[in-house]
Amino acid sequence: MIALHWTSFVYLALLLGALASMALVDRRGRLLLWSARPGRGAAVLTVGTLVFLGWDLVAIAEGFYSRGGAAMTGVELAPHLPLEELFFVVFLCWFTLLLHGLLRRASGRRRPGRKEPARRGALRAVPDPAREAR
Amino acid sequence: MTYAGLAAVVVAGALVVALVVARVRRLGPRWWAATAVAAVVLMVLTVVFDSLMIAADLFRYDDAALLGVRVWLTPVEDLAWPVVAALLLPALWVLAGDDDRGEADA
Repeated sequence: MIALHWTSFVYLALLLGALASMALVDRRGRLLLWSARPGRGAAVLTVGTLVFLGWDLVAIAEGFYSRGGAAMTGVELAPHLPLEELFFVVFLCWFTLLLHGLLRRASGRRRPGRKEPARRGALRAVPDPAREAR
Repeated sequence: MTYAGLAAVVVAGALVVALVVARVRRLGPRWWAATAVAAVVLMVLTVVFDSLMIAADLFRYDDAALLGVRVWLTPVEDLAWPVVAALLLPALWVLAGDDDRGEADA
């Protein structure tokens, strides 16, 4: 049943906000969908999302967990698999890939012997055309 | 099958993918350090947000299918999610590339 009360959209709205934040970080750091090869980023996000949704489907089919009653639209992709879970899983995958990319980048900048000197605040996703062009 | 059994299967699969990709694409200590730090960060966030989501009644568990160990409200089995994410996704990213330089930025 779809109950159209504002609380039904709380979780979805929070997820969309989180996804928008990922887009901003991604664009600023040119990490995944804003990297030199956005198709590669999209493919990885898609495969990761399918893996986690598959995990959900098996767990739901086995009865390990089920949908709760609160703060969701009530739209289901499959029995007990809320629409919101799709957005959550995309967020989890996107966040993980951005985090890993930023950590790799930060450790690369710290490593001695690189042509480029380490910069203060290396963890910040500062766009650097000279590096990104390679 | 228990939820822990399912989690173990998925973690094992992700670990195999990560190890194979690391071997084929010659990923070094930098890669694994980033993966370890990402896993820890994701696990902490999982405990916080999974617990909040459980408190908000977004989903419910069948207690009979759980080990019964919880970190705050998070069933310990749910920590397999951040572990799989940290192992699998960066490995897929490298795998999807056509170069051999997994250590390279991008």
